[in-house]
Amino acid sequence: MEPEIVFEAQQDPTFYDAVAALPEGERLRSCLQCGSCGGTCPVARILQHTPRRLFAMVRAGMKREVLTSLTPWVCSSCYACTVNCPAGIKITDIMYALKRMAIKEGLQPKESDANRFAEQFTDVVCAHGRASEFEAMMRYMMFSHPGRLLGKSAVGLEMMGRGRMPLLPHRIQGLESFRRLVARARELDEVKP
Amino acid sequence: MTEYAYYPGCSGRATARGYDESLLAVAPRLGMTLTEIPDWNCCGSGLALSVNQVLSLALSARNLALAEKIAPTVVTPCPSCCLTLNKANHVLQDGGAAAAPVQSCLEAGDLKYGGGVRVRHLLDVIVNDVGVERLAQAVTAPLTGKRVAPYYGCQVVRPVAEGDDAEYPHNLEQVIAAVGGEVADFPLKTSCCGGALVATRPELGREMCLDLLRSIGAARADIVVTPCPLCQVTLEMAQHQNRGILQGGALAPVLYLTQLIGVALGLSERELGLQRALMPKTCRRALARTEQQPAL
Ligand code: SF4
Ligand code: SF4
Repeated sequence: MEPEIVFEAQQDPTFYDAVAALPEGERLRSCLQCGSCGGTCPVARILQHTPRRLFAMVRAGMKREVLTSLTPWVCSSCYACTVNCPAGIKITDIMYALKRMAIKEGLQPKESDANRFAEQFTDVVCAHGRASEFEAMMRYMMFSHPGRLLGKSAVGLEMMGRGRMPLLPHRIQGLESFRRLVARARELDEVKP
Repeated sequence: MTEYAYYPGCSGRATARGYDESLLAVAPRLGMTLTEIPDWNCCGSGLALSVNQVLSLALSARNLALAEKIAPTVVTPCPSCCLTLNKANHVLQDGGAAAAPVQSCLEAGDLKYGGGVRVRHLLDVIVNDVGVERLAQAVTAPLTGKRVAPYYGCQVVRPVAEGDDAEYPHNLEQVIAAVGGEVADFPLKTSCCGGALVATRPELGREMCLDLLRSIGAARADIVVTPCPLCQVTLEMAQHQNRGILQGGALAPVLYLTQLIGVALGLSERELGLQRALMPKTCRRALARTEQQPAL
């Protein structure tokens, strides 16, 4: 792993406050840098930045590095870190908030496009009212990883044969009012600070 | 009979159809009346929450508003849906600044939510409302001699273990005992299966799954039981794809909570959706009785 050197001039002094202002972000100020989050994290083995390290980077104003970090995007939302944090920091919720911030800033995580999967899944839900694992997976795989599709297709076909992977997403009935609710949510999220 | 508003979750109508089917089959025998929330929508799970928080809360709020019309308690078999719906419920019940935009979304969708609903996971409802005594009384085909590994996964016990002990959860163990099985304890029972990584980081997801299955294998399990539809499909697909390198208990069939209960209540393979397993033969073999007549 290459050490990261960030010069003062590249730091963003407002970033720490911006993250603290996110939902559940304020508590981040009491991080003890104890490392028990990384110790319990099941995905830490592939992470360049454990949660502890990521939060140190937040403090140091390393905005770009934090928002392009893979960590929030491979976080599996297991909540092991959250229940073990001695400072009571809701780490998993902060990971969600950092993902949303990265999307808003148009930043893509390094070596991953997990952000696209989240966005495409959400688009499917907003269009039909129900999720379709099939449609979201297809969209993501077709555009991003056509190679992986082959490996998945064998077991996918078996699931289909057992009625466990419907091709067509179920559409809810009240789609019209549902779409108004979705449109309002998209609008309101835009105007937030 | 206790009435519940039922939220199947999208998986209940796709990969986890066997969960939905078996739940609907066992519920009346346990004194539960489930009324599906009319025209419910996807809660968006952690994926919508990664994109837009107001949207995530509003998607859940719509379900809460629809549920409030039919029953005071929502029950769902999906831990991830349960957590997502609860997040929105807490925001709306607190009524703070965060609630206003969500209420506005509901209005745009011609809905109103008064905060009168409680959202609970099925495992909590079965252990704490139905009760293990009643469950044990309903058993007609006990799983005598079967070693059952209790796999909780993450979100039934974290961040809150509603109706259970967060450090030492035992709800699944109680169910296993009530249906006459033996608990095959294993250390990773609340570890993450890596299911969320199947699309985006498959190699890491596979590693996490194999660790888990080997731990189950070491416990000499005949059956694995899980309350989580995502864990179920993740483990089952990993078993199927790695069946060449796994053996023994690591290939034990992974049953949904209500499939395990249903087997002990003497229900048939079809009633419980067991024929939908990726490896149905392994499943039949594991469930076959030695002393008694085969129940399946
Ligand atoms: S466990 Fe909590 S206090 Fe310790 S390093 Fe992680 S976030 Fe900071
Ligand atoms: S919630 Fe995310 S960051 Fe925390 S331990 Fe689990 S995977 Fe790691």
